[in-house]
Amino acid sequence: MKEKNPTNPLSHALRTFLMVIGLVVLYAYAVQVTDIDLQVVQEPRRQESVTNVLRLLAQPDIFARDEATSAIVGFSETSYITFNRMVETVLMALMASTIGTVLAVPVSFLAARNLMIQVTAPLASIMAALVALPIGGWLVGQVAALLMAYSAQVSESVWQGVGAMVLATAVSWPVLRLGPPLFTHTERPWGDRLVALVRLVAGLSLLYFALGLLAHLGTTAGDWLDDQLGAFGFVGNFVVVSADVIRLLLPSVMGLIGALIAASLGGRYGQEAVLRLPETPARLLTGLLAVGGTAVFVYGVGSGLVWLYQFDNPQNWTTIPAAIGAVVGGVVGLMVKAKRPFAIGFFIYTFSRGLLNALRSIEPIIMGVVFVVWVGLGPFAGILALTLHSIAALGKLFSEQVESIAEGPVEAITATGANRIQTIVYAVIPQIIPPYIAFTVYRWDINVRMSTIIGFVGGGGIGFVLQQNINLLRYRQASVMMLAIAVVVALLDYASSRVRRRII
Amino acid sequence: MNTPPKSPATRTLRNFLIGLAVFLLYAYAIEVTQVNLREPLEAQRQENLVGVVRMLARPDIFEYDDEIRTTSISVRMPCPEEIKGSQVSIEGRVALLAPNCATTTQDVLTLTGTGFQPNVGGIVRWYPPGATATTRQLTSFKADAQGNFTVQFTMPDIRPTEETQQIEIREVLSRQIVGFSEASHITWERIIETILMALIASTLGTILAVPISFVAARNLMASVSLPLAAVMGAVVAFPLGGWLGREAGTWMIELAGQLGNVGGAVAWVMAMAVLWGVLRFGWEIGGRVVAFGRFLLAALLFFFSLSLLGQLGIGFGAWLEPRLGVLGFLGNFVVVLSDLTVLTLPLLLALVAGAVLASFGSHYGQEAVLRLPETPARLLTGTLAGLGTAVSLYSFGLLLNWFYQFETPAYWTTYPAVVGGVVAGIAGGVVAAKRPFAIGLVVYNLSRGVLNTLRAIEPIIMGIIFVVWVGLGPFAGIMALMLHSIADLGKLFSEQVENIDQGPLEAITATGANRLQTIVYAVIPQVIPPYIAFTFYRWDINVRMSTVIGFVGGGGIGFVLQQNINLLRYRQASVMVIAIAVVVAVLDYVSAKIRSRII
Repeated sequence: MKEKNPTNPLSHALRTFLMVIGLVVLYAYAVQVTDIDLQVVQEPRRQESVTNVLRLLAQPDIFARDEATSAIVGFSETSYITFNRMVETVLMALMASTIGTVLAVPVSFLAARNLMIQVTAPLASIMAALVALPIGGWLVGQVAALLMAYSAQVSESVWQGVGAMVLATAVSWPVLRLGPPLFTHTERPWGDRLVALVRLVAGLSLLYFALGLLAHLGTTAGDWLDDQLGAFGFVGNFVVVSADVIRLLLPSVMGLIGALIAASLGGRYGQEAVLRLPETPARLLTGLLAVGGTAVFVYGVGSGLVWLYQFDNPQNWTTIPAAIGAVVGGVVGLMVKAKRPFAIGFFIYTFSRGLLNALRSIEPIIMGVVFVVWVGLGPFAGILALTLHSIAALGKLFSEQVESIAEGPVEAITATGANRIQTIVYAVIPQIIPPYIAFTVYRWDINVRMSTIIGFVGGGGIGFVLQQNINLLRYRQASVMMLAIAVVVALLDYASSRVRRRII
Repeated sequence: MNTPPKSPATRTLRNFLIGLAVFLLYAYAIEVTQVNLREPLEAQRQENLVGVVRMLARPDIFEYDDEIRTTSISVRMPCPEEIKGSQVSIEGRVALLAPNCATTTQDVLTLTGTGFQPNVGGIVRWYPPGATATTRQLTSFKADAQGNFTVQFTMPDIRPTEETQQIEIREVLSRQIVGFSEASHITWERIIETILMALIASTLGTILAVPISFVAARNLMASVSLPLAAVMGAVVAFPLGGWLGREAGTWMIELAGQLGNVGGAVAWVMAMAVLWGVLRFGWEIGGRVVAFGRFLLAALLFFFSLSLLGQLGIGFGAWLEPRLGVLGFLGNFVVVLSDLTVLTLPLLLALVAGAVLASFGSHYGQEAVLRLPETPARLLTGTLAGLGTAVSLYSFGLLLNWFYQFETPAYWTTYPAVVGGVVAGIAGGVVAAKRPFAIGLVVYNLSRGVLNTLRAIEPIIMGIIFVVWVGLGPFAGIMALMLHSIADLGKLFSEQVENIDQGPLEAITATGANRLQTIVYAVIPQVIPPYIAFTFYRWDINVRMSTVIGFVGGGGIGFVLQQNINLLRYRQASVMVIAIAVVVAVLDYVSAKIRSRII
């Protein structure tokens, strides 16, 4: 705080007076808007009803009593329900925190200013990445979907599936391991590179095929285990769900990975080409790539808008802007210096931070509403809502941790000539593991609190039954649940602060 | 933490067991939480989601002025004997309905239009016979470039009637934005309400959390220790003072009410004059008794003038409200403040009188014990301990009785009080009279425990109880948020007090300052910046919370948001979600800025 010029006492007094008036008016208006009415509080009928509720809440329905002697014979049904729901609540929070953390870690690197601000690339490289992204995604996605469908066919008979799986794994090994190594740091002729690429693709496809077979077999095996294991049937269910994850999500994930690899290859070769070529051909190349890249980007955004808003003439939103964008992009590409680096990293940083902040500001209970529409009433909807909010919240907290790391190790590792990934692995990650764990535990704590109320919108957990009981005016039953929530949250709060203190 | 090196086998076994346990935990978690990937990928569910997302993407922000052209065609439900089609032709527009009737809600009707405006969009509505307001939208249509369209629809579940009913084709010829939609206006009002709810809850919560935070600060409380007689003297004196204070307060309020407006105003002026005189003159008159009398008189006058103000304010505010026009809320504010004064004055006076008497009790108890020789001191301690224990057991029993309404209240009040009094009396006689008891730690642990328990209950759950008490609306939300803020800020504040620099504290204590002076001159200057920072942080949290506390009826934007969601009005809900996101993001940013400037 800097010393301000001394103001004369009169204007000082006037300012203070105006501020006080402003505050009085603000609070007066707030009292009016929020309907504060102290007469209501004193109404005898209202006092009576709140007295009744408090008295009922003070008698939680914890024990079952024998009707005749009113001796305690065990726990009441409410207690059992509360116990089950409380376990569900805590596990909901566990799942959401785990998945949220796993997904927030990569996001946090993208949203860390100090890492992203160094990422710059010539325009040609960025545009080549944009062009390659959808092509790679589409190609790999198609192949992945086809292989998955084929593996479903093969594994219709169990033994055939097992055989194919063993065979595919066995064949993939010599393809990947025999012969010259796939990755080298030395320059190789294009022929050798091509052979290596073909071997890599073939080997990975075989492994992926085997994984698909495993997933389809896993579905069968899990169902069988579920029936056979009795009390441990949940292990079978776990196998089924894991197999479902592979079966249903892996093709899309592979498409995403393919898109990213293609984009990174495009970016790399675009950059290399521009840096090696003389200025004029480099500019021509940049212009050409800018035409393609802008068109692809605008077309992609337009398709998203068309899907969302279902416009009457979709081409007004896709083809036509893409064509205009391509022309503009091409002109810009020809005009800028081909080798000038663009701060694409900063752009990604701003974009991802903005997205995280927007997501973070929507309470999970509101997200829960949307997820209930999608996956139906129940804890799964709650998990998804909490996961989404956890990704946003943890993504921001994590990235702030990345921003506050010591620069020394980063510089030391960079000085050895390490590339970006190696820098992150050897200089950044060791520094951020303790705070990441601490924040994850903290997030679990928050998620438990949140999951106790997400049931209010149908998201499962104890909130769901608590609200039912309250709506039915069964306050004695509700009291058990409130007690359970208070105990569990207080315990977890304590445990989480202990764990955090030990880690940091 | 160095543990002796273990053999590789035990290490492997341990890792294996940990891995197995984690695996089982997650497997069980997936089972319990019904994680199921097939359901979200079901076609029907995906369609639902897509529908909702598309509606959410079109927030109902603006109001449009539509230029509408209607074309009516008749329909029957149920069908007459003979089923045929209807055709209407107006100004070149031809609408053909075939069949022109439906018997069940499954019967599909086909409406074909030709000669309409090219590319025009619109809706098809059903009008019942007679002039009732219940119309229903049947379907929407979109004409092609030639002005032709064909839509198929079914009739709604309506009461069958012999009379002819109408179907109206409403073309939207053009639309213009003429202002904000009703949803936007509602959102605006409710978001203001939400922010102000959070403001009041944070303000009141902060004010009440500050004194609590001192009581819950370990470093301040751990040093508070008193002989048993002092503690018990305070316990005996507190209810006495409380009772006296409450009686006096009630009497003052009643008296002030009886004086009327003019009398009240005159009495207030007189009371202030006397108060000024008491405070201004007579300092030179010595003697404890005189000083105490002056103190008592001043206190009584102060509270009496306060109750006069309260009673006058209720009438004045009500008079002011209709006269100020737009600023009428200022009158309402005066009424609420006066209500608050009238309502809380007896309680406040009871607390103050209780605290003053308790402090006297403890002071004189301590002095007496420290001055008396050991044996009479022990006797005194025993007597006070007996009385104090009896009083506290009796009041605790009264509380239990109020809650549980036992059949024989005496079992819970008189009997335990007598038994406890005797036991404590004997115990008080046995302990060394001058031995200090760490009463501060007891208070610290008790208040920390209460704060932690309260903090563990989400405000939305507290909201439920307050809705029962004060009814649906933002006031219930404010009470819930306030209670949670007190608990949360109480803990955060007291941690700040625990983290203060000990230097100034020791310096002030070394000058011979008493406890209150130490707090005022050594603690408060250090804690003001973090307190302000935490208050803003809490306001931020309260805004987030107040956006959802409406889900249980606690007012704010959550209330209308949930209504819209329940009615599947997602376009309206979208406006509210966007408003929440914007407000929370802005406040988050502002609060972070302010905090980084203050700390």
